[in-house]
Amino acid sequence: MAKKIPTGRARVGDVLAEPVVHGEGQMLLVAGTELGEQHLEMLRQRGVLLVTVVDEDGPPTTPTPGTLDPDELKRIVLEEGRWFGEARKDPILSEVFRWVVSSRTGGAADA
Amino acid sequence: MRDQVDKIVKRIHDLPTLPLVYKRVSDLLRNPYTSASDVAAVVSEDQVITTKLLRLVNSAHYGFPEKVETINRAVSLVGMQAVKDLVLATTVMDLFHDHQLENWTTAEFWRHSLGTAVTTSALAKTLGYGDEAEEYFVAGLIHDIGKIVWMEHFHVELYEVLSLAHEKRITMFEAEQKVMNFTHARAGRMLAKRWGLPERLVETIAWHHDPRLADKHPRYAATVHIADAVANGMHLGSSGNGCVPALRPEAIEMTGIGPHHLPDALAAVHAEYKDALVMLSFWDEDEKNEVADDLANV
Repeated sequence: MAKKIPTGRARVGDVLAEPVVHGEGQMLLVAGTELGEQHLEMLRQRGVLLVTVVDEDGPPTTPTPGTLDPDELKRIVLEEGRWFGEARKDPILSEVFRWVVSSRTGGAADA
Repeated sequence: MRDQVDKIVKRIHDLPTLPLVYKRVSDLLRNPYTSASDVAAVVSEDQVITTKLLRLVNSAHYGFPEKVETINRAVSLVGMQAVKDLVLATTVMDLFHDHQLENWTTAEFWRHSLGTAVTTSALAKTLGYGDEAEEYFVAGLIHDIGKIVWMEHFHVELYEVLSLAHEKRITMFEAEQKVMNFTHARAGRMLAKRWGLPERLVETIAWHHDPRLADKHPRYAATVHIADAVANGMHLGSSGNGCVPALRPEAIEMTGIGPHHLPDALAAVHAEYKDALVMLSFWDEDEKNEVADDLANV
């Protein structure tokens, strides 16, 4: 089984069920790749919006609001914190930061 | 260094010119007696532009209650000036080649441009100048057009700029100053002038990193400055930056934006970005529906 999910919801350890092919046909990652932090960072940097990952019959990869693993939440906050850098101090971009973290954590960060 | 500047200037002059239909519509709009049907007649001669324009005005962005079937109707609904801008928006992407650098692609660049366009338009509406939303959309779409000059002709320098930006976590604008001593804002201004674009677009392209230097249309430059940072923050495409650009306080002052404006604007961007990608042919309808389903829960 496989499911297509937004890249922002892919997690370290997810296994690609299909290769990630960029808009113009460039192969970025092959099927079977176990995603690491560097892979996820690269996919985001390249603007890849969706990936297809193996979906075993276990728990869904979609987080339920408020139930995200605290370590995962911390990782996302740190990652976005690095990306926003000093800009996060601005009240406008601080709102954007909050919105992005909330989106990536399925609302768990708000809880 | 002089040689490098001369080379850049020469390359800008080698770039393609805008389609004839844009020039003809621009010429028509200089005549006060031009009617909507005059503009529609010129646009209708180009089938590709006609199709894209109709797709655009039938999108959620406009939300017209009935399907717009003809260019004549489209011109009367959105206005002649807006149609001229939309002709620019629907043609500019087709002028250049698709490039895949090791650390960037033309498609990522256009996705960022489109993300900034949608964000600029959303901010204009939220901040109370939505009657110019189309003009703001186009300003956002082509604000980084100078980067196309690097994409087309300066791959070695561009690779170095992007690497430095990501390594030092700085903006591409800052990295360009260090590597090339020539910024995309400057290159874009030259290209915009060569194309004969309106002053508000020339100023936006030239000063979106420092809106206080915009002489006649500072609010355009300031709004795009903010939208650019927001689109970067939201990961809409890739601008080539190594971080989210900081906002200049004068841009906030010029637009009157506050944190309370963000929820509405971000919701609009989230809703309209996917449509915009389809409108300008990044995705087909099936892919759009898949993405819409997948993102519905985000």
